[in-house]
Amino acid sequence: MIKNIKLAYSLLSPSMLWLLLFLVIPVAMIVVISFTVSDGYGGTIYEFSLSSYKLAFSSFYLKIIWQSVLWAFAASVICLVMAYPFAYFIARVDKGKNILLFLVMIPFWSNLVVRLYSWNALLNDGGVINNILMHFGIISEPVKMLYTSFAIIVGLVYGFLPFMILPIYSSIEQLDKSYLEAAEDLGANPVKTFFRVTLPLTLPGIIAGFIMTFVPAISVFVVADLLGGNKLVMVGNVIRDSFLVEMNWQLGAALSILLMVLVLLSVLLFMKFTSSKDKKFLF
Amino acid sequence: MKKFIWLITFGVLLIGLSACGSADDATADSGDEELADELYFFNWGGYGDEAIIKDFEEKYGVKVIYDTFSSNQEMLTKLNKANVPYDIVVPTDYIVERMIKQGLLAELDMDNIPNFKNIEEKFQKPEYDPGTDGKKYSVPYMYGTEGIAYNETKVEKPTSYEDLWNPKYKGHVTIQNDSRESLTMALQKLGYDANKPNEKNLKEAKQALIDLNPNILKYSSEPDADLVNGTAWISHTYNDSAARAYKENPNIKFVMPEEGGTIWVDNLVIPKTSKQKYTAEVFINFVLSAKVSAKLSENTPSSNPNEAAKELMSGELKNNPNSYPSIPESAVYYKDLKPEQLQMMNRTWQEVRAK
Repeated sequence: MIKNIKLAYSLLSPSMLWLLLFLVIPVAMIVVISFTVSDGYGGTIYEFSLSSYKLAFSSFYLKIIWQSVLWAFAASVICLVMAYPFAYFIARVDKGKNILLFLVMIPFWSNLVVRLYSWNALLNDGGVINNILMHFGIISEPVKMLYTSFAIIVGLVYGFLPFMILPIYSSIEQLDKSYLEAAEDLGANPVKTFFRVTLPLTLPGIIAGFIMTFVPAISVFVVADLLGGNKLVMVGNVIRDSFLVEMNWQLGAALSILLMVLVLLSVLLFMKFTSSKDKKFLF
Repeated sequence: MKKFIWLITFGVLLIGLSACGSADDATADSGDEELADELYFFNWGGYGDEAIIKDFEEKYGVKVIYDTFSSNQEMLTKLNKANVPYDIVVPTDYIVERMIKQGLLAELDMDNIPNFKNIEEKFQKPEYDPGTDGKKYSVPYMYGTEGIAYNETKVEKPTSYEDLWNPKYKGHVTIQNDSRESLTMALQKLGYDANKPNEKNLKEAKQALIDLNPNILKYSSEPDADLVNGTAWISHTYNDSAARAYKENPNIKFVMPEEGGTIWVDNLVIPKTSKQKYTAEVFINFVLSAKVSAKLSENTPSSNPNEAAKELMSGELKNNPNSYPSIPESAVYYKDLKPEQLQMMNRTWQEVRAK
């Protein structure tokens, strides 16, 4: 038995070392730095202080964090609504399943920054969408889309949609069809079958997808950079700015920790909420 | 087992932290006058100097390792924390002043840089590094100004920053995405000394920028593309952005505001941590030669302080009106401010953006 434990540890050691070097230590350093004092030029004075947390809890940063939560949540909900039928279709289609999955993953081959620039070209005042709408006389002057919260949500949905599709797909794929047949035999109509059988059974996929979309969406800064015109910022932008622009590592560290705690809490809350529903079904 | 892991964690953590804290005091080895094999060059992105670097590598057989940054702050952060032994970095004027004060820069041996004579006289003894005590730490690389770029088909020729506030330009104005630069613009517009921000005048500047908000298309330090495609009509920006835009769209012009605007100079300096100061000086001398500097200007629209190089430039380069605007007497250099003042400006700028 003891021998086995040793073996297990030795097999695990590469990944544990990886986690130690690239997760545990950096996070620990951020925690330490967040409680120190800035010298104003990017240096650190190793004295215990809560000043960066006081700043991080000021109404300005709380407002931006709340704004990011709202955008990330809205984007995740839209992703869910778009991804579910799509994933369902892929899972149930007779032919070409692999090609469809392949198409979902193709965008990952190029960098998100590059792909967001093309959204910039689509959404701007003289851009493709406005031009087409004006050409057909649907609108008379350009609709302002770029550098609005609409553009940011579009960018978030676009960027993270595949993260929603893939887990939902895998849970629908694993769904045993005989449950659906049983429901039909017992007299349930398709709508009822969907809400009482399909949806609860694919809930793990939805939860995984929601977390995989919401968590990166709340902290990404490139979307707000390129589609928000710096007028609209997300918490990722202010964290980046406090490290690189303000050279206030303490504030950046404190905001990062605040964000980490917030994400952890919301994920826990979300899982608790959904798993209790899971047992009772939806109706 | 658990205890053991924690021990390692704290051990490594302590080592990591102490490495962060200790400054590297290694002094440059100036006695050795042989070329090194490698040279670490840390420059602003977008200068387009890959071609002259290749020429240098071929001529001297020194491999140049080239990294770029996008702000002085980023450069300082990386220089202080990354422990890469950069041999040449390119800070802006007031950052040179700060780095001299902090003792981060090596004194240049001007005997190794005879091409310094090519530099225009007004840039030879700048306030931030006058060299009056016989000590010189920097040589100018490129310079430029901050003023107003505008599309002459959409906007009447602006004369002052006041014009950005014109309600006719609603949704077509951009200003710099930088706390110091944008607040300086607002301070100048209000008639204050750009280098003396305090609580009172920043409050007014904040209100002025908030009032400007309906006009703002976006906050951007690179409005070239928006100017070229006609989305932005009038921009508070650098003259080299305007010069780049001019190449694509000759309707984009640049003018210095009557409030003065600002002027900047990027400089070649050698950090004290460099282990091959001599090679770095040879590189600096190479860059300052008229021919090389003229070649550099082919790839960057910033203003070139190298007088000898200007004579070698093609007409097209010299005639880009935005590369060499007329600079009013009232244009100012940014001065190095106190950390409290910078923090106040950062807070103020965040408050503007949060509106």
